[in-house]
Parts: sequence; C-alpha cells; structure tokens
Amino acid sequence: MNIFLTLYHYELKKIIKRKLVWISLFICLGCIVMAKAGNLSGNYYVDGEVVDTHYHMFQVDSAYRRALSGRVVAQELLEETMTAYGKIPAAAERYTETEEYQKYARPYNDIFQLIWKWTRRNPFYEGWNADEQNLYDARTDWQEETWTELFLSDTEKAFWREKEEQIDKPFTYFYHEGYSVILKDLDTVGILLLLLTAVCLSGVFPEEHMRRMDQMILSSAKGRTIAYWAKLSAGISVSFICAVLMGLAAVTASLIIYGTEGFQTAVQMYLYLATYSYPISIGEACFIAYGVFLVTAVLMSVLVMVVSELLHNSIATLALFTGFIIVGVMINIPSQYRIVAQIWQSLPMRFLSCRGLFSQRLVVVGRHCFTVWQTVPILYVLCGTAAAVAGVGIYRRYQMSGR
Amino acid sequence: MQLTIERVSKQYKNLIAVDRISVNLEKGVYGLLGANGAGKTTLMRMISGILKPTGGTISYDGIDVSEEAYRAILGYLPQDFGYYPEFSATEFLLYLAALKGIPKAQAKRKAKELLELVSLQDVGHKKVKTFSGGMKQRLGIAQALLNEPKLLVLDEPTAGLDPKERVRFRELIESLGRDSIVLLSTHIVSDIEHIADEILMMKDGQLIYQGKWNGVKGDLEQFYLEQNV
Repeated sequence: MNIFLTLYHYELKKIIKRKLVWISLFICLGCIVMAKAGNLSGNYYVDGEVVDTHYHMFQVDSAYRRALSGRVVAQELLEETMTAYGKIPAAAERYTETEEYQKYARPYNDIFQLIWKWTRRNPFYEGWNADEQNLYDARTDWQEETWTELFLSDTEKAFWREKEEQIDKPFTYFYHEGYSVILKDLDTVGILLLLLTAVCLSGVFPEEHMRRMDQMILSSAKGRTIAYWAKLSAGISVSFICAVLMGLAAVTASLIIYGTEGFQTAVQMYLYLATYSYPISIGEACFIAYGVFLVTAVLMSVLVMVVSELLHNSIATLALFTGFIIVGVMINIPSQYRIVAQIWQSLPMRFLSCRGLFSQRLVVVGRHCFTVWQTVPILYVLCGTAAAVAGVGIYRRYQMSGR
Repeated sequence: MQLTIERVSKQYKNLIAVDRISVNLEKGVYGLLGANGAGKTTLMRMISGILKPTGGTISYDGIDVSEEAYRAILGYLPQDFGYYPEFSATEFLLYLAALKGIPKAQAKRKAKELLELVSLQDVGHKKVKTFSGGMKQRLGIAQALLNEPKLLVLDEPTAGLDPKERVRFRELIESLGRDSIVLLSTHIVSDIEHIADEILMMKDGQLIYQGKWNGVKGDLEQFYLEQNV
C-alpha cells in the first residue's frame, strides 16, 4: 500500500506539473463563469434602438418572480394572470412592447409562459379562459403525447402514471432561477468536462513512451502492476477534482448571480421538464445532475487513459475523443429505434444534459422500472471498471521494439 | 547465481535481430561488443524483460524473465532514456525506487548514497532538466543500482561520460561484478577490455565470440575490427 501511495503521489505530481492542465482548467472555469454572467451583459434592442440593459431587465423580472414566490398555480393566480394580459390592447403587434404589458402583465410573465407551454398555444393570440382543471388536463395530454412520441411501452407509461400521482398538485410557484440556470447549462459544462479530461489525460501513458521512461518503468518490479493502477488512480483523481471544481464554479456562479431561493420547487415548474413525472424538487434534480457529472468524469478519465495506452499517442487519443464528442452531440438517433436510440442517448456527451438525464425512457429490468439517472451511472461505473481491467492487459503486453 | 539464455531469438517480419543465442552467465562482468545493428540492444531488452523473444527462454536461477521476482533482482540502464523535467534528481531516484518496490525510508537512504557514488550529491535538489548529458547518464547509472541488483544490464553506459568519469565508472563496474552479474554493452572496445571477465561479441544477431580475452589472443580491438569490416 505504501508503494502504491508513493507512486500515486509521483503520478499525480507528473500530471499537475503540466502547464496544459492548469491552462485548460482555468479556461474551462472562466468559460463557465462567463457563460453564467454573459446573459446579463449587453443591451436589449428593439428595431435597432436600445430599450433596456439585460441586467436591468433581469432585476425587474427577478423582483416580479420573487413577488409570485409561494403562490399556488391555481384558479386565482391563473385568473389574475389572464386579467393582467387582458389589459393589453388586442391589436398590439408585439404585445411585450406595450405599456400595458410592462405595467400589468409583466409581473405574471412566468405564469403566462407556463400556461403557454402546457397548453401549447399562446394564450394572448389564441385566447384561453383561466381554468385550473383545463390547464392541468392540458399538461396530462401533453405528457401522453410525449410518451407516444418516445415510443414508451405500456409498462413505462404505467410507471410514469404512478409517479405522477405521487406529485403534489396544484404546483406552488417559487422563484427558482438559480437552479434553472444550473440545469439549463448542464450540457455546456458537461462538454467542457469531457474535453478537459481528454486534453489533460490523453498524455498520461503515451508520455512515458515519448519520454523513453517506459523502459525503466516496465523493467522494474512494480512497473507492470502497481504503476498502472497508480497512474490510473492519479488520472481519475485529477479528472474528479476538475469535475468538482467545474461543478462548484457552475453552481456557485448560478446561485450568486441568480439567487439561492427555490430549492424545493417541483422540477415540473422548470419549463423544459414540465412533463417529467418523477416527484423531485429542482434542487434535488441539480444534486442528481452533479452526482452523475462526477461519475461521468471518472468514466471519461479511465476511457481516455486506456485508449491512449492502446494508441501510444496522445494527439491521436485527443483527436479520437474530440471527434467522438462532436459526433455524439451532432448526430441524433430517432426514438423509434428504441434500444439503439437509448444507448446513443446514454453516451456521456448526450447524457450530461437536462434532456438526457431526465429522459422519460426507462430501463426495465424484469417487472421493475428504473429511470436513466438511476441506471446509467451504474453502467458507467461498470464500463469504467471493465475498461480499467482491459487496460492492464494492454499495458502489460507492451513490447519495447523499434527506436 | 546464474542467468540462463537458451536459444533466444527475435524476429521482426523478415529481419532476424537476434538469432538463437544460448549463453550462461555467472557472477562477473561481461562485455557485449558489436557494431550498431548487431542486435545488442535487442538482446539486452529481452534480458530486461521489456521485449518478448520470438523463441527461446531467459531465466535467472530458474525464475523466468516475465516474473516480478526476476525484475526485482534486475537493474537496467537503457541506451536511450528520458527523465521528468519537473523532477529533481532525488525525486527521480525516489520515484524509481518506489517502482522497484523499495520502502520509502530505505529509498531515501539509498538515493542519498547513490547520489554520492555518482558525484551528484550537491545537485540532488536540482531539476533533471538542468543537467548536462553526462550528469543525466550518471543519474541513470544510479537508478539502475537502487535495488542492489543481482543482474545489472547496462546498455552503452559510458555514452556522454567524460574521460575522468569513464575511469570512475569502470572502477565501479569492476566492484559490482564481484557480487553480481554485470552485462555491459558497448561498441567502444577500450570501455571493457580491462574490466570484463568475459567478452561476448555479436554480429548480425549471432554470438560470434564468447570467452575470456587475454593478451595471448592478440589485440581485442583489432579482432573486433576484423569481425566488423
């Protein structure tokens, strides 16, 4: 154990002494913070003229949202919303630019957006009579249609109906902007993590060959056994620590800029997850997201290091993983190809997103259904372990020919 | 204490780098001579367990070359080796000591002792990237001795050493040969003619001479040149 720890210490030192690691990490952290703050910079233009600053608009909207916080999305609030929007002249071409919108309707904008999303029609242009039952029924219809589009089986539909019954309704609106931003930017932070891992760890094994240290390592007593695990552990640690730092940067920046309130908000109040039926809060969803984020960091680090040892080339490894990430993001497999589509959706670059993590496709084992955020991380751990064990064979079989 | 090399061959497609070499080595210094491309490095890599022979076996006192126990008694200085630019000489030795399975306290003591032996004690804290070629070579020799090897394989160890260092190195090898098997490859005859107990000469992958060399047999350098014309 002492030998392992000593080797681990030196392997860690080799990685963190590389400038590339620090430069890449700071760029990623900078990108994350800038992306969060970037939405609030600059001006808002209408017909080429500055109307307001984004920051001021955010301040105004936040104050209105906070005023709505704690109110139940029920008949009373829906009527207030529609009454307020009813004051906007019907002939208005762009109703958000009217005085009436600014004065009466804007404070209810979040509720209006919710009605629009759930009923899937713009209540201002297409008309809608405030009706709580109608609104919740519209959401149920939307859920059923979504399940059909996703080709869910009857077992899966039954699972979601059962979960839906466990949700407290009517929903209560809370200001939850900070958590919404965390979930919304999850895919960007996820891609950055995957790229950072590929950049930082693709050289861990090939550099020993490049530096011609491999001969001394592989001819030493522990060079073919403990050294491999020490290297792998050091790489995993670096990736894990980078993920923790990136996660902290994303969460801290979001909560500092947009506010910490709303942890307990039902995740269904986040518009992108309106049809999701699992009874969790938006704060819990963020915890799940970052738990999966950390597991993904471990999987990715193992894959990058094992492939780099297979290729004996850091640049080829980096190119391979960059291509893999791009292809994974760009190519979509339609839901009708059930298993292939689900496997594709479980790839790290797709899974680390709100849509991937909280997909309504389930993993059915016997009579039991599990959500993808419950099963895919376990699959990641298994894949990582299998890759690490396969890597031992690749590492031990290396032959010092040539040169 | 016996290193047994039995009908060892290495073939790369159409090229036979080492051709059915059989030799038993016991305590002492062995000088492996041969021109560039004769197969010295390939043979040494196979003896060091980092290159698998196409045929034949290598063992030390019955322990196969592929076993950890074999590597535990081995000290190897490759012909061309690297370093970690951010490591100091002491850190470099401590890292390699851990690779050889030496406990930390013992490794520290041994590293200090070896840095003195190769006259690097004053620069132990300095980064290896600041070292000259000769200093790096001496550090390489030190790392090969960390585990007090019973089998020491040195591939062109005198490359980069100045004349004074060469003389010191020969004395060191001579003393090591009293307790271990030292196999030293070179293409410079003067490096080994006075210290080697036996000469092994390779040409085109084959062992063309094996045995003691003394003045009666004539000039070793002349013989070597004749074989490699």
